[in-house]
Amino acid sequence: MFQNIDLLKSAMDVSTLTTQVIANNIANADTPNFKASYVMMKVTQDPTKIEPEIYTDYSTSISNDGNNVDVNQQMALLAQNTIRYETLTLLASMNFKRYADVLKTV
Amino acid sequence: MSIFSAIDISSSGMTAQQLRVDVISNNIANANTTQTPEGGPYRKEIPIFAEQFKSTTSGIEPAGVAVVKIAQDNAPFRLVYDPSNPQANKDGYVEMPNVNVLREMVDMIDAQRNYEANATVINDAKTMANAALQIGK
Repeated sequence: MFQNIDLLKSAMDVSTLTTQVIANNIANADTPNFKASYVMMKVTQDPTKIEPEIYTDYSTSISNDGNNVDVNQQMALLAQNTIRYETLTLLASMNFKRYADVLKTV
Repeated sequence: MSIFSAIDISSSGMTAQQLRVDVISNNIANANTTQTPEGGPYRKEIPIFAEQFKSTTSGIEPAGVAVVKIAQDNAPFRLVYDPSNPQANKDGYVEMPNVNVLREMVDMIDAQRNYEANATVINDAKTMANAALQIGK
């Protein structure tokens, strides 16, 4: 019955993890030899679940100290992620409201 | 993983950048210091950043950044020709600190921008936490 909510919850968990990874990338923007990590969403067999996958980009370097954090790119990813999370919370609210509306009519 | 991890990580970034600004201001303040307790002119100081991890029940997680050491720059001292200076050597040169003020100013702007980026992440994490509190209202 609450499959939608479960799916939204797992998407929100991925979003929370993404914020954490972006925060770590930005905090380490001046750490020598630090490589930026990214969170990918993985579709699973279970339709009520999305799994995150963290991968680290070892292939590039944008400064002499071997660091590859592009702060501008990270800020853009952060803005996207925040909007995605807010959308998910809105969807969760709408789901709950639907149940509430049904219960009212009974 | 928790909603507050991102805030903790970003605050570690802000602390590190603040320390970096402290070190830079010390370098600029001592750009002309020729006498130090260790003897010789002042050597430029460099904060060494290192990524931090913490172990939790769900494995190793990133925990931001920390300044692990403040190292000294081994670059040679700047030689200024000033024969009348009492500190001049036999050829008339005075050893000045290896601080490049222009470089320090650029580093300071970099530190400031990074501090702002970390502050933005904290604000976004707060927005997300507040959005989650509104579910079901």
